[in-house]
Amino acid sequence: MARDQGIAPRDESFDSVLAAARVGAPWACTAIWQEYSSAVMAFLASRGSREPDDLTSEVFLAVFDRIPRFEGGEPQLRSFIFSIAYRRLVDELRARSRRDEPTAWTPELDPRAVDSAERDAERRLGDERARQLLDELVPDQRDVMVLRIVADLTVEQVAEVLGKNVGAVKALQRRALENLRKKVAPTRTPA
Amino acid sequence: MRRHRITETDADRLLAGEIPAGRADDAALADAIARYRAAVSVPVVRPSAALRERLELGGVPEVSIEQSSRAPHAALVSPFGELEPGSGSRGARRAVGGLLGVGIGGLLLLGAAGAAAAAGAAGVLPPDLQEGFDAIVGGDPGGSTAGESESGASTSDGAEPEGETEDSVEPSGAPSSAPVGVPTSPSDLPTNFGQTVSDAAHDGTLTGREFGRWVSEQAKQNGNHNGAGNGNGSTPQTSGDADESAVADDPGAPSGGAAGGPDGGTSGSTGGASNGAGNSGSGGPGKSGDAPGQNKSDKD
Repeated sequence: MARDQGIAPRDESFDSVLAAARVGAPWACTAIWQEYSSAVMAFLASRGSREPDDLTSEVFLAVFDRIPRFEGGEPQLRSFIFSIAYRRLVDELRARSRRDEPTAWTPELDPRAVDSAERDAERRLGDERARQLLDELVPDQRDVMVLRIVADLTVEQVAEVLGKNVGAVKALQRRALENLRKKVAPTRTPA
Repeated sequence: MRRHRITETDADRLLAGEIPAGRADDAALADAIARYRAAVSVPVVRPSAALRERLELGGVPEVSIEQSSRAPHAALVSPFGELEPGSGSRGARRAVGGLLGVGIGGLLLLGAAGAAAAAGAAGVLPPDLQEGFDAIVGGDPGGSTAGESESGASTSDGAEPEGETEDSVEPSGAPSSAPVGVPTSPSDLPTNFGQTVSDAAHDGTLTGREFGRWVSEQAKQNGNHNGAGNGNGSTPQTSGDADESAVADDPGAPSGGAAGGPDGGTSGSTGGASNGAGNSGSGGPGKSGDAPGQNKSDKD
């Protein structure tokens, strides 16, 4: 899998990168950051984080603090990183919920929607619609879909991140896809 | 119309933005998922300051734009201050480098030229060189040379020491190419002066401080004659100090050493007196007087 090779800079193997990251080698931490930071931030942003940049950095600081105790290969590391990201996200959403702030994503709160308003209007509308579709899912289904699509996790990895069993994740995934299919299905209009 | 159940395989294809085989009716769903993936993708993530300390972001584009835009300027910060990129900084660096380059080779040449000029001004160059020098600066070549030998006894045997001087000094070539302070352009006067001092030392009528005082006076007189009208009365002190080390390291310098050589004990004190004379007298005679004594005492 290309991802397995992607983390290793300077022709190093994943094990070498991980071993170096465990002792805090900056180049190894950078390799991990480069490999996963975009996906983590996309996950956090799409799940409603108000400051995904800062939260992403917090996630990776926690990752680097805990990586000396980490055991496993690349799939496990990916799950490990997104587990931390998910917990951080839940903390933020809960904190905002206690303050009675809205937690759901809205286009007005998404900074990326502001700059792209003038160009590619048609496509933007399509993208917004796509985001809207997933945001209309119930939270559990949405979590599964976002982790599957954005974080590129397997069902097993999603189960590990969310702390659910694999069967439950599969069921959530299937129901989410069926709900989406209903929403995107072309409406039949009488001739 | 009843839709089919989404299998795990279908789910994997749909989540990858692909249409499952034989499920063309799911094309819209696949497209929506692909659009969602593209919409939420984040090309650049800026690490926080705390995280940046743990990363190695030298050429990584994730470095904040402000930081990367400042990097070229930071690279030009030098001990001389921050240099702006462009021809100005290159010019400044070139100028500094040029000055530093001149410092070694150029200063030696300048020093040699200065020494030659000082010697010429003092009238202690060899006659032909002195003539050329005086012609350039408008002096009187004959006058200064003629007036140099005030001490009658020394003047009479001026030709002989001149030959000695040439033997000991001329191998170095043109006077202008010699380093500062080395008496490469002796004339009759310093050689005669050394001879005079040497004779006086052999004579034995003056010893110790008295002899030194006498040598000093002789040197002053010679300096006053040679330096009259040249206005270089202040330079000999400096060049005389510099001569001490320069002459001591120069094996070709002892033009008068032969005179003091035979008499070991006396010439030792003579050397000391000569040093004193050189320091207190004018540059030309002082240099010449320093050389033998210093070398002599080194040899002893």
